[in-house]
Amino acid sequence: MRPLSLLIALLLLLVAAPAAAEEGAALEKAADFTLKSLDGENVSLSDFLGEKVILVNFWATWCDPCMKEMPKLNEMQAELGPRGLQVISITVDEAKDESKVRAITRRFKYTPVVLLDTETRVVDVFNKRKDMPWTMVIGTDGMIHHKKKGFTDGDEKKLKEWVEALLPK
Amino acid sequence: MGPRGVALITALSLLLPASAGAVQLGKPKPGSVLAGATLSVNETLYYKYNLFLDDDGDDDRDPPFSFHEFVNRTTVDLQIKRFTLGTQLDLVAVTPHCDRWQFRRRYAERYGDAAECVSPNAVLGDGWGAEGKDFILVRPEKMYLRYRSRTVDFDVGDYYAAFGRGIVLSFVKQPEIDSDNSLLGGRVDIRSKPADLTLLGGVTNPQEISMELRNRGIDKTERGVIAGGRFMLRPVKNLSLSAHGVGYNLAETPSGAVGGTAQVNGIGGVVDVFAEGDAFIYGYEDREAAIEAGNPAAGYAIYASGTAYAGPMTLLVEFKRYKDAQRVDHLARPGPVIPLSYTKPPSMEHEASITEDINGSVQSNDITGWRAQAEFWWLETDTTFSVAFANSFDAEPHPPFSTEREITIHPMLALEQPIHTEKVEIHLKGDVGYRHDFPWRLPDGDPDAFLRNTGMLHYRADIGLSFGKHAIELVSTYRRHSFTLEEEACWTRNETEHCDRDDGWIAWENALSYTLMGKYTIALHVDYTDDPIVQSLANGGAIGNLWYDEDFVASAYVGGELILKPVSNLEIYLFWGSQKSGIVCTGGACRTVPAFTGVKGKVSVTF
Repeated sequence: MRPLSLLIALLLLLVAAPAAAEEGAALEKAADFTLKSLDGENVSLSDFLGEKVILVNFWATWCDPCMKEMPKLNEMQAELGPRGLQVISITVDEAKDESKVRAITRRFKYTPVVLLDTETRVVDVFNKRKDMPWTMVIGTDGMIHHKKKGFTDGDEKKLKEWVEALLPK
Repeated sequence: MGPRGVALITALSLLLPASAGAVQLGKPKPGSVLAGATLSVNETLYYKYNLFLDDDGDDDRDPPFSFHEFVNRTTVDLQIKRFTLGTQLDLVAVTPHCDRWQFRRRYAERYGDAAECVSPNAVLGDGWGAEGKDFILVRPEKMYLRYRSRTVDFDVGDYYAAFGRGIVLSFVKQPEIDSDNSLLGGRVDIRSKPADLTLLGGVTNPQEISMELRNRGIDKTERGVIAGGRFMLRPVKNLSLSAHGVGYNLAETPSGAVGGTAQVNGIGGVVDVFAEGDAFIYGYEDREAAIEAGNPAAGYAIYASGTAYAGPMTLLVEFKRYKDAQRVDHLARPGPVIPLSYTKPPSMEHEASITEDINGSVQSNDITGWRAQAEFWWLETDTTFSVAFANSFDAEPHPPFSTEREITIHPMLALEQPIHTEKVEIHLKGDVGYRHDFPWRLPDGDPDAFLRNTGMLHYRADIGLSFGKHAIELVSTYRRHSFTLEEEACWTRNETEHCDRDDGWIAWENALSYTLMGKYTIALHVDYTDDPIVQSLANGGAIGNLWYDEDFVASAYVGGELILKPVSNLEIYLFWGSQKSGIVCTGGACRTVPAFTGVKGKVSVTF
């Protein structure tokens, strides 16, 4: 087999494998982490695990799609929070930009939990390529049911569908 | 090694993780070590065909040889309960190269038998000795063992760290700009409700192989040693205090920094305040001679910010005073592809994308500045309006950009307005600003020396439209740099002579994208610049654009992109054409792209 053919065959295998894997894959357990909140308190994922459906969203002040997504997450927290949803917004802005983070969350009157990953210690666990924004939905079973990168208008409907499917009926 | 060898190595590196593609290794079962363990493998293969077009077909000069570049990155994380064991393995390979007789023959046909063969893209730079080949490099970039719990974290191997606002220490992962600086050593964090303690130590470990940037002339990394600690205290609710210290043993003898921070939240229910102060002591091999030569013995940094919010308004005010506070970065050893920086103090620029003209704002050793930004957000109309003003006094000349001290002003306005209708969502966003650097003669400066003013006008417009499963977005960014000339310059255009004392350049970037179901994106980029630096130096590798001339007068860059995300753990990316370096946002995600001409494709898979 010529090397180019071999390469193409392997690429096809790579393309096909994740699609097949996604259909029948076991769910991934969400690793615990602890970060500082804007108030300086330590907040752990395990504070909510098992009790809430958790939507973890990574964002940054320099990311325009993130700015579009934040008001939608705010609305989702207000609407579905009473039914058991907890949105956790983790900013990956560097330490030098922490003041901008505060200004933006104040501007949006943002009610979800905001955590600071200024040292990129948590984003490196879940989202190594640091795609922004990046979202995962964790069920009350502690497993990651959905992952999503990027945000375009209308994506909030899909996020809401995912969360509602995991919330108690 | 020829293309077959490169293909085979790439294929094998792909095959290995593919065969290990499992997620949940074991069902929760008492007594089993792997009970509930998770193996996560991320595999990214990047292929680039770097093309050099003939910039002038009339001359005898041939364009440089085109070349293929393969980059493979494999990350593996094995998570067992609270432990994670992980690694990142990178490979870069290029072809053709001078180890192949076929290329040596082509080279000799073009330049003559006596000419010494030069590879189109030699991967290795200095420091590798006889151990490396110029066309391939394999590096185990990162290795780590992590333990996480609510009260204790520890890291052995590679880890990231930042203290305060990053003025004394900032080692973070930034794949969006292709930078990944970690420390290789150990770190422990101990947390309780009223206090936290962090202790760390290790050697600097920058990522050596780049995913986006051209892997050319990579120098072997020389490592520096860093150790430090931080103690944080929360004596009462809404008050946080911290003290930190860092020792650096970089290029010369040890240097050090100590500092502290204070954060008070919710003063009167509407104000948050932060302050940081740091002091630096610098070591030199020959201290007396170094200080006599003008190097500082010590330095300091003060940074403060306040956020106030009332009704629809949020006000952010920042202040900085840096005096010889970034000498640590001057003492850093050179990085492999990306310049290393061990600290990142707040710069107070409005946006990361407009810091091209950074003299006086980021790396100055003697600067005082402030910035205020008011944002208004009206819930009823979902309208956001921002007005900002930055001002600084830079007492350090930065030749050739500035030979005197400078006062900088930078006002900026921004507006964001989403429009919601039953079937269509429209998102409008725009900003405009102007920065001016006024020269201020040094006390001992030549009174007759020419003082140059510099300015930068910039705007950005972002129009998004979505309906059903479809989304269309147009992003346009414009920057006009200008500076006064010492003498009037004249030129002829359309047979008419023009004379002016102003000169400068513009950079104009446009991207139009269409996204279907949030999964499939096609985008067209059209960029233009007459910046001679971007064309001649910083854009190396993009010579031969759609419109280009050998005098670096102007270039237009046109490129097409295809991004496919059929399932959440797979991304396929294709690009064809030319691109100017910069931040690009398409398909709802942003990234930094390097200068490039040719074809490239990337497959990223997570198992």
